[in-house]
Amino acid sequence: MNALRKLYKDSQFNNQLKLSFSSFVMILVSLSLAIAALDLLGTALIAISLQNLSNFESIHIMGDIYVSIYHVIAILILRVFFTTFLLYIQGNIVYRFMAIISQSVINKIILTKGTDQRIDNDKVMQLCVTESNNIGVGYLLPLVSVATEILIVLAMTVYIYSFIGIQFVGLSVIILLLSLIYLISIRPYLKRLGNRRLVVENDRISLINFITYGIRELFCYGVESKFTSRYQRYSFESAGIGNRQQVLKNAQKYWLEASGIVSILLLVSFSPGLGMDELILLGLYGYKVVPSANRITAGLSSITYYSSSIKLVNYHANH
Amino acid sequence: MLIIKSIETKNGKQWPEINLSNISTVCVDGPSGSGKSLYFNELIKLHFNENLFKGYSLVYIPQVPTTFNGLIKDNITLYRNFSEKRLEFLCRKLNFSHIDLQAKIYDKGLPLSGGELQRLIVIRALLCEPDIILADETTSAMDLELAISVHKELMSNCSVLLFSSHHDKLKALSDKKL
Repeated sequence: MNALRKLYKDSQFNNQLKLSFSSFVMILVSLSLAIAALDLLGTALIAISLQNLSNFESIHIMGDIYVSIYHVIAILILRVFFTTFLLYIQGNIVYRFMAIISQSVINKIILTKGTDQRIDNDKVMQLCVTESNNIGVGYLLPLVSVATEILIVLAMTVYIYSFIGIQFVGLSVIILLLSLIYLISIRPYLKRLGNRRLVVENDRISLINFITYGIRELFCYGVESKFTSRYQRYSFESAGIGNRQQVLKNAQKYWLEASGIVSILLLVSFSPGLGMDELILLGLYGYKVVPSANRITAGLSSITYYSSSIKLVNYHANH
Repeated sequence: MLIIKSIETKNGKQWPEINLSNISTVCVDGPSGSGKSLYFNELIKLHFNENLFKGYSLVYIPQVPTTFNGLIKDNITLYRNFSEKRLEFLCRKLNFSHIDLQAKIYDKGLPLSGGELQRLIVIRALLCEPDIILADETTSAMDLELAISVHKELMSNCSVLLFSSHHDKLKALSDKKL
């Protein structure tokens, strides 16, 4: 957050950014709350309607006020519409913020051109534009998305707890522990894989450049085959690492789903008093929480990766 | 008898015929943008398509040094096997012995300087003991003294050297100018 604040400060020197840093953060937080509230309302309506419509009843909310299934469908459509609209605004604000920051870095480089010969200005420009996009799409949006998902999961947890009670706490602990065991065990391995892939990809691209620009030399020395076979080796290695990363990330989803089912089975076998209503609610909770947990872990891994982009742009903005 | 016929490069310039029988050093002369590099490209193309220098081994030293991510040694040898003695000898001769050959260089040759990179690709060329060398402004990033010593090394290690340069003292070392 400090690095982001510094970036914001650096973008001020050309007076392009009218939004204050606290307003920027407030807008993102309030948008997150709105999205979380809409999402929760939609899921709660599904839960209430399933619970009551099993008896072919209309849904009584308060006294004489009731909603039919058509009202529920209409509200759900509105929820989708508003959530999409709010997500669009959220993305738009983040993109605008990052575009202004990258523009500021570029302006700064142009203004100081020639004064520091060590900086390859073209490269820095290209780098800052790309990295600023990375920060926007890879850091800020996942950050907001993670915050939103955490709010949804928390609110759902409180809601379900009020229906089921203490047994739900046991279920949550089991799911949480199983998920954490998986995440903790694969995290260092995933990190190592990511680093290794970056090195291999870098070497592979360097080799493509060498083959492209040094093709005449390669012909003269007769070493084309040595380089094409090396290139193939890098490609296979990179693809292999990519596959392993993909499998581990996908396994995360299946692990969470499997741990959810196992936990429910454990809960049912130890709590024979649970009725169909509670099970429906648990099912809905799983339906909502499993994708949310996935989005949270995916968002968190993106943030770790892209924090280096913030450091890079921050460095160029300050040098 | 080794004769290079008259060649027209893509920029429309007509380069004259040369008989290389009694000549060992040819300077391809002309101002920047006159098509010297294009001339070298045409020669390489003719060699590989029409066997221009049949029976002779040819190497090309480009204007911009080409390197890849890897050890300096691998960048010199291009993964071929050469005697360590020959490599050490050339490094010494070309003022490259202060460089650690087991160090890694990255894209665009960092952290080596422009002159060091040019010497790297000269060593790369001389290692395979070629008959003909095409050197396209090979010493442009070196000071004159070093450029002359590198140039002399090139001349003494091949039968025919075709080179281009903007240094007058180097041009003066040639037997013929194009």
